[in-house]
Amino acid sequence: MPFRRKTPLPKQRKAANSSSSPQSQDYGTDLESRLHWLENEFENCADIIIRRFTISTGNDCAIIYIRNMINQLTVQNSIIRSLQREAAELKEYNIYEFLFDARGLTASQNDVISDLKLGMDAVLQSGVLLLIDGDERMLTFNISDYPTRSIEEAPNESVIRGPRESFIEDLEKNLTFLRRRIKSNQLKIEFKTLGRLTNTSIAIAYIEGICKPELVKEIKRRMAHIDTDSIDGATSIEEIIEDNPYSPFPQLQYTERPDVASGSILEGRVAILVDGTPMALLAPVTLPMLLQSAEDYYQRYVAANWIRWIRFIFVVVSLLLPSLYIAVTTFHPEMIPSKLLITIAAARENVPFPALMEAFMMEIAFEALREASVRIPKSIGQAVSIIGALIIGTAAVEAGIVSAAMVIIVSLTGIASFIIPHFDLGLSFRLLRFPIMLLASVLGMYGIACGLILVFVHLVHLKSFGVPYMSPIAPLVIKDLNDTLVRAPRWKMDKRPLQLTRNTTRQANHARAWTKQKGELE
Amino acid sequence: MNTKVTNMSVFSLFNLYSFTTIIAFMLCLLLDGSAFSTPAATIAGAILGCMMAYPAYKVGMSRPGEFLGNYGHELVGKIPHYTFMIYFLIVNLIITTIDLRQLSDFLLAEYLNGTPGWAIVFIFMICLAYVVYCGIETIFLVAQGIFLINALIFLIIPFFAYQELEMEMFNAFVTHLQLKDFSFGMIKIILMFGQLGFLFLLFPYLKKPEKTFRTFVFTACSATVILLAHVISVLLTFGPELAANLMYPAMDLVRFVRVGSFIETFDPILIILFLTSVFVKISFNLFLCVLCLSHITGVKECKSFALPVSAFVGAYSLVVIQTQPELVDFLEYEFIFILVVAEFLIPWLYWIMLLIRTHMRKAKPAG
Repeated sequence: MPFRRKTPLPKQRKAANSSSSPQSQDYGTDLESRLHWLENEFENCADIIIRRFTISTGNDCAIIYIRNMINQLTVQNSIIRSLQREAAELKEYNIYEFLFDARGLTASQNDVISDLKLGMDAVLQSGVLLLIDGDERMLTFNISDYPTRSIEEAPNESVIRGPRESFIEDLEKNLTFLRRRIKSNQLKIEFKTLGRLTNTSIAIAYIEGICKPELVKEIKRRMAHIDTDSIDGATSIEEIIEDNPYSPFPQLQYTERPDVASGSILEGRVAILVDGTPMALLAPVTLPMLLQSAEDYYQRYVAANWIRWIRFIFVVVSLLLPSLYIAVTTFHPEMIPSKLLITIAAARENVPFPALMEAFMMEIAFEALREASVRIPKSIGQAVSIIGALIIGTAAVEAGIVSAAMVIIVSLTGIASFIIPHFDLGLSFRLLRFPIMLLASVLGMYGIACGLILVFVHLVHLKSFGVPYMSPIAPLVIKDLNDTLVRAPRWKMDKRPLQLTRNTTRQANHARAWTKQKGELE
Repeated sequence: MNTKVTNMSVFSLFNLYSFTTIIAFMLCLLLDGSAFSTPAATIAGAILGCMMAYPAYKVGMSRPGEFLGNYGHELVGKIPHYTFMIYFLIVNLIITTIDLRQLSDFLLAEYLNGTPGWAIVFIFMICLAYVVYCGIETIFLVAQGIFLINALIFLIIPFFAYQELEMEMFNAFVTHLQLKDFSFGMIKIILMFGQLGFLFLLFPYLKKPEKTFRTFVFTACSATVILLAHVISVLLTFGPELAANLMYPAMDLVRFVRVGSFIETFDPILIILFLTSVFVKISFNLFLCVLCLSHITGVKECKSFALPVSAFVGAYSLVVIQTQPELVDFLEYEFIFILVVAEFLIPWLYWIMLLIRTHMRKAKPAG
């Protein structure tokens, strides 16, 4: 679906705001010399169009743009024809006043610049540059019109009751999603351009008065250190600005859902949107936040709580189940009821490998299957999954390579890892599962406990933009627990998280005061 | 200075600190000396121990923004101060080493027969070195993070064993109260709660130091409840003689508990519970070692000592004591004397000197 850029591009906005900045080139008012400079700069850029034309006042003009990045019909009608029509009624000395002072051309939004370098940047940012002989000033127009992906349902964060739309690759459209949800002048959006060659536009969105100013400042401070030729996407920024780059845990949340992004910034967090990335980065983030799903807030709170607890249980299962199996069968068989112990022992009798090897083989096979399923063409993906999961699994048990119990354990662990709502967090747990399995095989429960202690110490020590990663559990913030261990009903969640904002009042605490009044239906 | 240790964190850490090793490893020693007088001794010991930590609190409060290591010499003189700092270092090294040794002995005896002791200590020391390197704030946060679950389980476990309790023995807590037994148990509990006073070495880390003593009182109350739950249930289940002869009576109590037919026993799970609590205690003492060492050597960043001190403690715990009776002997006599000096004599000396100097300053005419 085509999309027309209505708001000024960040670079152009910067250009408009920085009239006092030194000009990179000074070629005076002569059109040819300026065009010569631009032609040199755009040498061998086959997609750059430079169109010369003369208007009725006798002034030579030129417009420059990138082919297929703008609507050519608009250029023809709203700029060239409009200029020629208006010029016919103007005398020569008025044309400059008409164009640059009165902004007489109505084609979209335009900005006046004098620096050729800025003009070149505007063209690269899919704008149109208009030059006229006799005046050093130039006009840039925002009439970009290039193909973008249509809005689809969030593929990785689907919900049953919530909105279906997801972010796409176009930054301006993504910002519109936010603006449509938060119709307030307190929603601030600041632009930044990063990447010397890619000139990637980045938007920082937050709510003034809710978000801590120092958080925005800190994000900008960290971004200011980015000096690279390319920003490939949000991940490039995420890896640079996160607190601990060596941690396996994600320290920024990503979401492809506009409702999650708007909900987060309404709590005092900051959304970072990158042009070309169909998701928003949210900072700061804590572990409990990563265990929340958008669905939690669309279901009734009783069901949401139940689902959330199931999720917590399966997070533990995803991290520990194979390790517990190894520890119990190898070191602590006294824990297992004797009948079950006999069954497990009988199943393992023909298996030549120790429990650790069994678990490693199966887990790695499962990871490979999962990785393959991402890349296998969709038409055969399901068939391959069935082959992998059922046929290989069954055959492995029958061949005596692994025990049936281990297949159950690995399958359950695999299912559990899909329950984690945040993919990056699921990856972290999948990775940590292996060293804990190793510890369990060497030291049993003690090994698991040591592994968990190390992970827990790391989590407690970790911070995301100054917010402890384990808050509100460690440090304990009792008031914030109503959206951590449980999902309190909406009318109870009258405070924003204390760790994120100083403006904590979200709603008046009399949302259900009507129950004390007598209604007309009673 | 990053002052982010809240009173809630202090409460969590000292709760775990106070009851964990007693319940896990020293219950037999306590019951051996105090028998049916143990519950009364526990209550009295907690009250007195808390009160005995008051001078340490007052010394810390005299300059809450400064480390005692930095201003202590102004109170007692340079040589005594550095001697005391070295003493604190040694005491904390001993406590850490003993706890670590008890933990490894427990694991070797109960679950990991045949596993080399160094392997157990090595993996645990990695965890300890990491948390000490992360800093005291992380240690307190870890305590806070695990406190609720651990305290709840520690509190609930005795109630699971209610079927085994011989309620007829309950009267003995009053009728068999003996002064000698009572004093023995009380001293042990006083020395355990007296370690609350070690916090005076860390006052600049506290967010609200003025409320620390109130936190001590709450800590003593809650830790006493948990201690009593275990002491009473162990006594009523096994009786004082058998309990004193069991190496780990709290764990044997758990072995009595049958949760249901789907699980035979859940005492291996207890490892995780004991281990996390003991981890908090040892890491706190280890951090104090590192801090004292940095004060003595004048090194500003104590993190650099985390790994060498951890390695030393790990290695020392393997060789410090050869046999279990030797360890029991040490805990019954020398250890008590060492703790009395560290927990009471030294803080009291600092306090008295503080009072004298404050009095002298007031008496001195202005100008």
